[in-house]
Amino acid sequence: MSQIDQEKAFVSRLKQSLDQRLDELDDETATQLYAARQKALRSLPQSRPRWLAVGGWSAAAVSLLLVMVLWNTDGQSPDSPGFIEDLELLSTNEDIEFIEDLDFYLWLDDEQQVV
Amino acid sequence: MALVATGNRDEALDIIQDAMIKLVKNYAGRPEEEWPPLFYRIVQSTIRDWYRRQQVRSRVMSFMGLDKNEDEFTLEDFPDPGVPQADEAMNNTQAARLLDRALHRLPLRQQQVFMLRAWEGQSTAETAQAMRCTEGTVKTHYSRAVHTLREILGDYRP
Repeated sequence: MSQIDQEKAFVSRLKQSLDQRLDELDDETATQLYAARQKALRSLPQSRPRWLAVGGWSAAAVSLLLVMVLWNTDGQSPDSPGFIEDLELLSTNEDIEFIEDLDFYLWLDDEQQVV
Repeated sequence: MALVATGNRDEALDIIQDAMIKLVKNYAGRPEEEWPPLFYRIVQSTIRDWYRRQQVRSRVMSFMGLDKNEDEFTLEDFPDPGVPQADEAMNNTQAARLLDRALHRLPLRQQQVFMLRAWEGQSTAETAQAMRCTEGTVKTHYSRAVHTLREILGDYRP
């Protein structure tokens, strides 16, 4: 056997020994290597999370839908006559019972003026 | 490879962990076929960084008189290749330990080249790329590593 062949055979035996050790890797080390891989994958830089992009579009769609529904409630638009009055009612600090009985108080006031 | 270089399981796992994170952070966008050579390169440079830190630490400990070379091998750890062993049936564990110690005795660069070429099956060019050196340097390191290992291990039989 030539010098080169002897060297190749020697290196081959060393490789065989190293391969064998790799095959006999204990469970604990294998588990730790798996955990290391998972940790590395979690460090993957992400410019923008996918869920955020999807969530953003969903929120925009829901907002748009809400505006459209409110806009078209009872067929009213901001320039319809009752719209401003409704807004005033919603924003007033008066007792809601007073507002509900407003017609009665107006009628009472008229009656007193007549008397 | 990291285990052979450090001789310590936990240190080796730390090196691999660091290398994996560096690969993912810096090269996740690269084509998949480029990952293995990049990973080898990162592992090799991480091992070299570890080795330099160890040398500094060793010098400081030595300066302070606290050095304690528990891992230092003596000639008795290695069988004389010229003399037949009393127990010819040397078991695999013993053989693996001897191989470990022999690899550990190689200079770091020779050890890295040997592991990449002989064990990982990397070509001279691939090894040069991983080691960031010329192919000529790889050939020199490999030749010296094999020569030294043969001197230490003789007719190694796992």
